[in-house]
Amino acid sequence: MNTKMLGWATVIYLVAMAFYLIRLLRDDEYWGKLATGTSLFGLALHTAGIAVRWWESYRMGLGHAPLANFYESMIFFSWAIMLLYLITEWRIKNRVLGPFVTPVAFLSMAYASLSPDEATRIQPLIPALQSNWLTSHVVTCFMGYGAFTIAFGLGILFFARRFVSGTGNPSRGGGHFPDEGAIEELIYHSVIMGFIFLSLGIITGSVWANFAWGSYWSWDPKETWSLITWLIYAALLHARLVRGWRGKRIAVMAIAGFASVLFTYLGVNYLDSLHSYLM
Amino acid sequence: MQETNSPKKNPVWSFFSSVRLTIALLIIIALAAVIGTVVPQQEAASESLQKIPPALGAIVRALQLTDLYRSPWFLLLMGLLTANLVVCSLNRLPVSLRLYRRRSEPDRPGLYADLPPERVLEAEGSVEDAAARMEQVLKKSLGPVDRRQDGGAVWLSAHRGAWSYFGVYVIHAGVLVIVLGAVVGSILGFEGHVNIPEGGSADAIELRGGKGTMKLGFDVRCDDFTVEFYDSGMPKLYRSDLSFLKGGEIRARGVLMVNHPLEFEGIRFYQSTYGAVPGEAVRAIDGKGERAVKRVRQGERFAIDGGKAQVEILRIEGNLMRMGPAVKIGITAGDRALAFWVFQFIDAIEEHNPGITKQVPQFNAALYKPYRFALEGIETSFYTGLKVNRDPGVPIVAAGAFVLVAGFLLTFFSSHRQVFVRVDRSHGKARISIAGRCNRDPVRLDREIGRVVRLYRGETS
Repeated sequence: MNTKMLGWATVIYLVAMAFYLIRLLRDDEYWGKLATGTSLFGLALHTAGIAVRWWESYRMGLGHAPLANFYESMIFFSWAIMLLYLITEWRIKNRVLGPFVTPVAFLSMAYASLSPDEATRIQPLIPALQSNWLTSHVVTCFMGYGAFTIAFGLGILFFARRFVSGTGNPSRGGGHFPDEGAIEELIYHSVIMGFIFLSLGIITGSVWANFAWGSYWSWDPKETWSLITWLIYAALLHARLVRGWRGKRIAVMAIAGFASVLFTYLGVNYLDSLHSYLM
Repeated sequence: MQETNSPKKNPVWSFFSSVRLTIALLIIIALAAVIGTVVPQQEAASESLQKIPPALGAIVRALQLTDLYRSPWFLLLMGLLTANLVVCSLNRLPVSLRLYRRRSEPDRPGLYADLPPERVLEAEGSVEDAAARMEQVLKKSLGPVDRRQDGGAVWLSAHRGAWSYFGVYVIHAGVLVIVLGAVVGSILGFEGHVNIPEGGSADAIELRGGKGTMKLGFDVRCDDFTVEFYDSGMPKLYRSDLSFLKGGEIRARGVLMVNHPLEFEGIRFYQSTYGAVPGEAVRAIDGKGERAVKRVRQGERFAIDGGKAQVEILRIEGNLMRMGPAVKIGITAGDRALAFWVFQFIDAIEEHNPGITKQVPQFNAALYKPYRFALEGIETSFYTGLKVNRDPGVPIVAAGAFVLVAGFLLTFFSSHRQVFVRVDRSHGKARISIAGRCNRDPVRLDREIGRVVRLYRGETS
């Protein structure tokens, strides 16, 4: 039931992504409204899918939030991206970011749906995960990843805008790009949001590790990579706030930071880690 | 922002007061941390070191890459970052104090030029009346109002959130407290490991990183160890029932599970691993006309053949060379000494490898004639693997984390908003001009001014 709902949400995100792209290319807000409506519907179905999965786990007598394995984490990652994206779209009253962020949400869902059958089934928790800290740790981390994804999308948008205006015709097919300063300001705000969530994610993770592994910090690769990501965004914030970096450099750092986020999330699985239940 | 000129102009101070250094250190530490996740660390390292070319191994050893996070050079980088953070904060503090104390002059010329039309209001009546009403509004929405009068005009100003200049120091203080907690923990704390067989007890632990053993000052007994599995084969529960004894007397008991540590006399115990202890007891059969069944333990000795031969149980293996349970027996009779393995499934082994007991005398359980040894089976029992530590730095680190998060909220969700009002006469009416400034978050300032305008007009907000 829940996997079917989530499967449909995946398809709907693909459609929304196409609408956003058409809007950008044809510069027609009709498609934009369609894209937003489709995304909202997809997010509603996605939310319901997660809720049903949670409820089903209680009915099975397992009773845990659907945040316990790689499949479930990807579903939640995508959910966080779409939620934060739609909030951003509503705040800036501009749909130009859509084509740069929805693909990440769609890919995460699509990759999740490729998981083998037994991975998509609701599973009981292994002893290490039987903790009240599971939910708060995973939610804060992935909200952080989601906010960094928005910053990444904005970074790509920054260069896409340069590319479009560089080809000599900024008025045509521009999809009403915001100016560079506005994009960069948005990157900064998204990074702050992500930075706070990542910090909370690291803190909740440390508290949990102190109970489960007997040490709040053990330089486990996942821990280390989350710190690396944190350091990169800390460097970005210092560069902007104190050194006055603006524009291109900040966009580059937002993109580099996202690469580190992806490695923290996915790449670490190839290293020997205590976090291996996420594989 | 410009680097401030500190009165202390010595080169060390100016080196550490650079934010360029901060950014460089953040990136260098990040890169070093990456190396540590790629090169196997500590216990895992010795095996991999043998596989790589010796020259490369020498480099790895020289740079202490296999214990990178505790190596002096990595700690030095961390120390540099800490010094940098302290010096930068101290350097900038006077600037922030000045910003905190400074109030922009409400009668500064130019402040009211180019105001959008919705920020210029007109009112019937006197300048005094309009100013008095505005003063009430400002007081209600922002706080204490500064008023000055000159000629026919009145200037008002109010502000809010001046302490937001200090948010960044709160963040840095949080980081410093966390660093302090880590240092306290590494100096005053310890970390180790102990394996305790079911029914057995331990009074010492193995310290981490091969630093020897440490007496606990009490005994820990494992009364029971339980491991449960789900139908899928995934582990469901690891549980150790522990007793803490002093002078042979039970002082405390508790159930230890993953995520549920136990504490005794300030020392914490965590469920870490478990394992099977092969053969605390085995059975062997010997024969010389008579059949005897005997339970034996590793290291046990007994006599056979009317005292002519001594048997010693040398080793007990749960699965020797993938051929199942086996026991190594040593026999000494006079000046003759023999040693051989007794397999439990010797019949099956012979079936797969015909003649093996002839070719490999060590596998021949009938080597000491006329006896023949057999193994009925090994009873395995479990041991529980406990992580043991004491870290007095934990509360300090936790406090630092709280301060850090409070600093984030202060820095990123508050701003210093100042609102300035000029009331003068224009075209026979009182004219009210409203201007504002802020250190960040102009959207919030706009909202605040909008509220002031609505309140003045008597609309409910």
